[in-house]
Amino acid sequence: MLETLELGLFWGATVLYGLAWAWHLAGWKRASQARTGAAVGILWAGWLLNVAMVGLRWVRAEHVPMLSAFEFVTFFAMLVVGGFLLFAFRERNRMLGVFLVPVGLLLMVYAAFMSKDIEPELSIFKGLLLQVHILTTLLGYAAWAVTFAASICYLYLERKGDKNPGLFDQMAYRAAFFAFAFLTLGIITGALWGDRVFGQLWFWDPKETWSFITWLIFMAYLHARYTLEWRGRRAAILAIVGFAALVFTYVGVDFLLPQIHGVQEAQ
Amino acid sequence: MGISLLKTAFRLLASLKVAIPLLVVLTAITITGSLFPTPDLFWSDAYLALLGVLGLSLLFVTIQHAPMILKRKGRNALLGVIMTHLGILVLIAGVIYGGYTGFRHEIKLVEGEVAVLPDLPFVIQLDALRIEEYRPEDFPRDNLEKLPKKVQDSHVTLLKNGRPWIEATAAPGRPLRVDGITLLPSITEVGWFFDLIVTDPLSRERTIPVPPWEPPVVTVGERQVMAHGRMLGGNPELELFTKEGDALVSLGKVRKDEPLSLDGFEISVGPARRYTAMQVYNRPHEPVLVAGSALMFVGLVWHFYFRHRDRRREGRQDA
Repeated sequence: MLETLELGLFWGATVLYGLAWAWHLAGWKRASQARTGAAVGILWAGWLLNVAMVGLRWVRAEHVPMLSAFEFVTFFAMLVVGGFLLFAFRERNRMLGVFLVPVGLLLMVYAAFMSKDIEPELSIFKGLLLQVHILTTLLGYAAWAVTFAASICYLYLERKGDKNPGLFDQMAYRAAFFAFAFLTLGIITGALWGDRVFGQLWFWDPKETWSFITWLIFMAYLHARYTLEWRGRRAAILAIVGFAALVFTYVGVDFLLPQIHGVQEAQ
Repeated sequence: MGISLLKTAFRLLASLKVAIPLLVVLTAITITGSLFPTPDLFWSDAYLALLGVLGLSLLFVTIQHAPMILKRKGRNALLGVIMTHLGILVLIAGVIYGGYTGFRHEIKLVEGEVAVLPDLPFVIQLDALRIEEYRPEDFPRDNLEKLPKKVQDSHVTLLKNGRPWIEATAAPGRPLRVDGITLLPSITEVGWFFDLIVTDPLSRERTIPVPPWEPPVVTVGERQVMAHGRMLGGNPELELFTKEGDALVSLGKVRKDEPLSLDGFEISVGPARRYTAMQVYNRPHEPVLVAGSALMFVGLVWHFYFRHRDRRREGRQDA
């Protein structure tokens, strides 16, 4: 019964994310504030279903729902869309949805192909440290997804000759700072957890190495803004490179490189 | 001469023309090393040195740009930037220091046996190893045997001067820490340890340990015999082999209450005991790593909070 309800919430959220994106696209193409406003409303509904699904999963699984691949991805989608809604209270910011909502939607579609079975929490996964590691890393990723979408918005508006694309440049920077801080905390807590389980703080396993590479790119972005005074186009391109590294760290490494992460799957 | 050399080094490292290529080179090497794995690349002195130089360069660049940051972004923001960069440098210094200090032993501990290690002020005795596997009803999947164990508790007694000193339990994820020394059982390397009992025609008995990580070659009469053990339904079973030419030939299996006769010798199996691999190490540089990480993170939060507070007050935009 609860399983069916959870599945219903999952599909409901996915469909609403799809509709919200379609409305965002329509609002953007026809420059219709009404449609974009409706898109944000639909997205709120989808996001609430996503939150309810994650909450129900938490109750059913009896552990924080971030351990199986399905849980991880749906939780991530919730953070990405939540990140957009946080920025979308201003009307003008809503254009961000055109590029950020598909990230959330893609994550939900990706999750649709995964096993939805609940797996018990392995004894080595118990404890606050791992939960903090996963949560902070996901928050870092979600914040950079905002940076990415804002950078695309900036590039689009700049190309269109908009008078004030700088709003999105500012948004990208603010989100980047959160992303860097959270990813830093995520890497530190991950190292501490690895130490408790494997006896070593750092292994240079591919996921760790690519997290470090992503962290270096985030760091380069912030330094480029601070010391080289990079703004606008150049910063936006670097933000997109950072997002590509993030996607590779998150998805590409799992498929292409053997690693310690995903003990449950890989062991 | 010395001072001018230091000044030159500072100027060089404080230059963005050096810092940025360093960052690019480090990123490129890391990406290449990840895609085309090179043994020990990331633990090499050269890579660690590159990390150290980059850390120094980042700090010097910050110091060089301090007046500009102070003027444009305020004192609090500058303090945050300096804290973050110092944190990175302390972290890198800790990693390099850690490469030259401390000790690490990887041992195998068998139930009922002790390990005496150099560097340790105590002896480790494994009293019992409690293992519980996941059952199919716990996990709806096929490859249960490949999962970490549900319970994997090593009950140990630490002995000092031959007397029990501390009794405790260690497990993967729950290491035992005593006087700065960590005992961490392996998550994967656990198993059974067997004893082979060989009785010769004159009824003389020899007990030969058969550690699975280093199976011995045993002389039985004229033959050289090797044994491979496993647990079958809770009972130990050893299969004996001998080499004929290049081929390994099975001589038969030995089970509890089912000894094997071989050229007048009787071969039986003793009670099986569990063993676990265990890492025993200390990490004198740990406080340095913790301090570096804390400094880096606090600096980031500090910088972000004060910078934005100051900007809001001034009604200006961000970076």
